[in-house]
Amino acid sequence: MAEVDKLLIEEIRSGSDDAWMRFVDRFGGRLQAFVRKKIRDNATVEDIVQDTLIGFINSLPNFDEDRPIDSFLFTICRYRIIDHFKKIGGRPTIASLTGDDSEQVIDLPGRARGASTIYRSGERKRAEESALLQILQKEVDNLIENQAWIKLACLELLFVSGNPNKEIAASLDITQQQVASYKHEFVDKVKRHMVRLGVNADLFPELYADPQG
Amino acid sequence: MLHIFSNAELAAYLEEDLDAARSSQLEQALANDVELNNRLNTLRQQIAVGEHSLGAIWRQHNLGCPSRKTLGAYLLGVLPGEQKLFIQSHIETRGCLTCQANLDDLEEQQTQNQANMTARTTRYYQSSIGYLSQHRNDS
Repeated sequence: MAEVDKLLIEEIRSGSDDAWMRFVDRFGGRLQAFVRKKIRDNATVEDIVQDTLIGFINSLPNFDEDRPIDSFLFTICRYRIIDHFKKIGGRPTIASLTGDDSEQVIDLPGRARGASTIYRSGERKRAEESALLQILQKEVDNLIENQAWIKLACLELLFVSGNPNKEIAASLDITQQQVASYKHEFVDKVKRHMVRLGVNADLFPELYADPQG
Repeated sequence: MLHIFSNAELAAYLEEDLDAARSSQLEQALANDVELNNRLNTLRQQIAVGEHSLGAIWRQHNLGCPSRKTLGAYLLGVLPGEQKLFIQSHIETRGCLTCQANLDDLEEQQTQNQANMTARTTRYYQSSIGYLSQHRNDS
């Protein structure tokens, strides 16, 4: 987290009203825009943003300063949206994802674990996930530093979207062979890092299976 | 736009991280596709027991998301070709909701009346400041 953000969090933790106003001014708009991507009703949008901000205050004692504020806030916000759809029955297929009350189930404080870790327990699983995050962060940072933008776009479409090689090649104007080569190189590198950190790469299906879903 | 849904997209849908247009397509498909429903249920169970997913970790932690400053430069059209293509792919093809929201917010800041934005901030501030006071009293 940037130094300026750490200072802001420190001020908020000490109870500064002014710091909270600056925080709301800075993040309120983007949170509102995020919720609007899912919900049209203005009153509901504002309620969810408000709940997100309150959720942030409630999680302050354990907020992990290694994580960017944005990412943490949007995670809280997504849970509030899930709760909203659950209440109105808008997403029946995900009814059991967060249980009856996401705040009781999701361990937002601390490492602000994502939805894929709901109901997970055990330090080992968290350590494995943390190790992979560390590796991915390093690899992505390297790509950005080297301005390897096409490679980064390709890997993102492969692993985050699960798009087929053919589609990726067409959208980025590269060959399918290049897509396969980027993937192979990346998977190989991640696996080697995992071995070095003592984590079993078999735990992550994408590192073995074709990520085209 | 293809109507075949990857597991990564299904997971994003379950976590409210799939863009609205694609979510809508998925919901239409779910109404008639038993196999797709089964895949979604399987994934939901995997998520519930904490199965690892590289794509989900990447997405949840916003790895590779451009900074607000870079998004601002993208809006102004001053980024070099390949970086511009990456951001375009990230926002439009990958459909990163966080960056879409940041971009919308930046555009709004350029076009919206300052008084409206101040009023919005004041509303959010007033409806949440009591909780900060409570936090202050508790700690």
